[in-house]
Order: sequence, then C-alpha cells, then structure tokens
Amino acid sequence: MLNKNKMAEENSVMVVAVLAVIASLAAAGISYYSAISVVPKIVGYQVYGSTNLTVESFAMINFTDSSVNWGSGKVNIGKTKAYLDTRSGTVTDGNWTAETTGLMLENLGNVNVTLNLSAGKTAAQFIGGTNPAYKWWIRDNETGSCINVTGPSNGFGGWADPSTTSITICNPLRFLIASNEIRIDFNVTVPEDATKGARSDTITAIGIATT
Amino acid sequence: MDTKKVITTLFVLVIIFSLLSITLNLLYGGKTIEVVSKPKSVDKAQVGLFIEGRETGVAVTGNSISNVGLYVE
Repeated sequence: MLNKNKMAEENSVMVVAVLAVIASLAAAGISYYSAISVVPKIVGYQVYGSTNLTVESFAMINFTDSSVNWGSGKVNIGKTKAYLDTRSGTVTDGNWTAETTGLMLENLGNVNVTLNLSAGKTAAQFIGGTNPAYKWWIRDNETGSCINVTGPSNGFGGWADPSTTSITICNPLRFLIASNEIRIDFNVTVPEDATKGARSDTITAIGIATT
Repeated sequence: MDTKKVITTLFVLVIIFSLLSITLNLLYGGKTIEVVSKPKSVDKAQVGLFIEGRETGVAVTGNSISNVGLYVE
C-alpha cells in the first residue's frame, strides 16, 4: 500500500516535471522568436541610458527653379537644326525664347542627402526627328554643395544624356546654407523634322538622408 | 528506468530553458527600440518647348538676269 502511494506520488511529480519542461521550452522558444524577429528590423536602438533631447532628421529637397521653358518656336528656314542651351542662355538657328537659367535644386533639410536624378524621356522620345539631342549638365550653384563620386559621365561637370533610370549624382548633396544648391542645365538640338507640338519632360529628384 | 533520474533530467532541462529565456530577455527584452527609417524627399521639375511647323515655300537665295548686247550697223 505504501509502495503504491509512493509510485503515485512519483508519477505526479513526473507529470509536473514534464509540464514544467514544456512550459519552459515554450517560454524559451517565444523569447528566441521575439529576439530574432526584432533584431533585423533595428536600424538604431538605444542601449544605454536615456535621451532628453532629440534632434529630428529632416530631409527636404526642392526645385527652387522648377521649370525650363523655351516657349514656342521653329527651326529657321534654310537650317537643318536649332540649338537651345540654358548654360549659355542661347537659341541658335531657331526663334524660341532663350532660357538663361537651368533648374535649381536645393537641400532645405537638416541632413545631407544622397541625390538621385532621372529624366522621363530620351532625346528621341522628347524631341523626335532625325538625330535629336537632349543633354544635361549638373554643377554646383554654391561651391561644395555636391560631393560627386561618379564623375562627369553622369552629367556632373559635362554634357551627358539624361538617365531615364534614377542615378546617383551627389553623395551627398550637403545641407549647409552656404553650400546646398546645384544647377541643372539643358542642351536640346531640335532637327527640322522634329515632332511638332508641345514637348515636355519631367525631371525627378530623390534625396535620401545619408544618416 | 529509474524515475528519479528521469525527474532529475527533466528539472535540469527546465533550468536550462529558463536560463536561456532569461538570457534572451536580458539581451533584447525591456529595451526601448526605436526603428529609424531614413528620411526621404522627392521633387519634380519640367523641361519643355513647343515646336511649330515650318512654313512651306521657296526661298530665293539669289537671282541674276544679265543681258549683254550690242547693235552693229
């Protein structure tokens, strides 16, 4: 009888122990799952102490001159092409209105940004006709604004075909007031058989905070 | 199988899993986690012109008619 009671007691302890193991295993599993699901999402997290002042990062780029518009015109009679250039501010062999400023883009935020630019169209899509040309030239409007790492092939410091995919121009475009603005000039060659009518393209700038 | 050994083993497992759980909670639990996404800004600009049709016609770039003559009696 005594032996039977002892066995029953041991069985009860065994059941309790098994339940404890299951509960403990579940707790460890939940902790592990929580940890591995949170850690990859952490970009920055506070490890020690507390902060009583937070300076928010604010990225804002803005085309302070957001339009290049040569108006209406045509290739002069007797000429095969007209040349429109915002950098020199001239129109040659055509009667469009000269544009003396290109686009101006400023970083108005409080962080440096990686600046990506893209055009919506190629020369053929924008102008049409035989051998049209459509190029941009990007440069600092304020010295030291754009830290360029890719060279003039993308248009920084020289004429280049605008990219229809987003490419990095400045890394970074700085935010300090005295050095936070770039200028984008355009050079368009309009052939005599160019597509008639209103022609336009959209330039898209994307600034992503570097920190 | 000795019941005592089984029970002892089970409790050792309980202790191990509990310690593991405590460790994970100490490492990652109870912290203020701030997920920081990088601020982003987008702006657009326009480049455009209107291309007119050219007038049709003939351009006269030069014209010259000369008569050279004499009368011989």
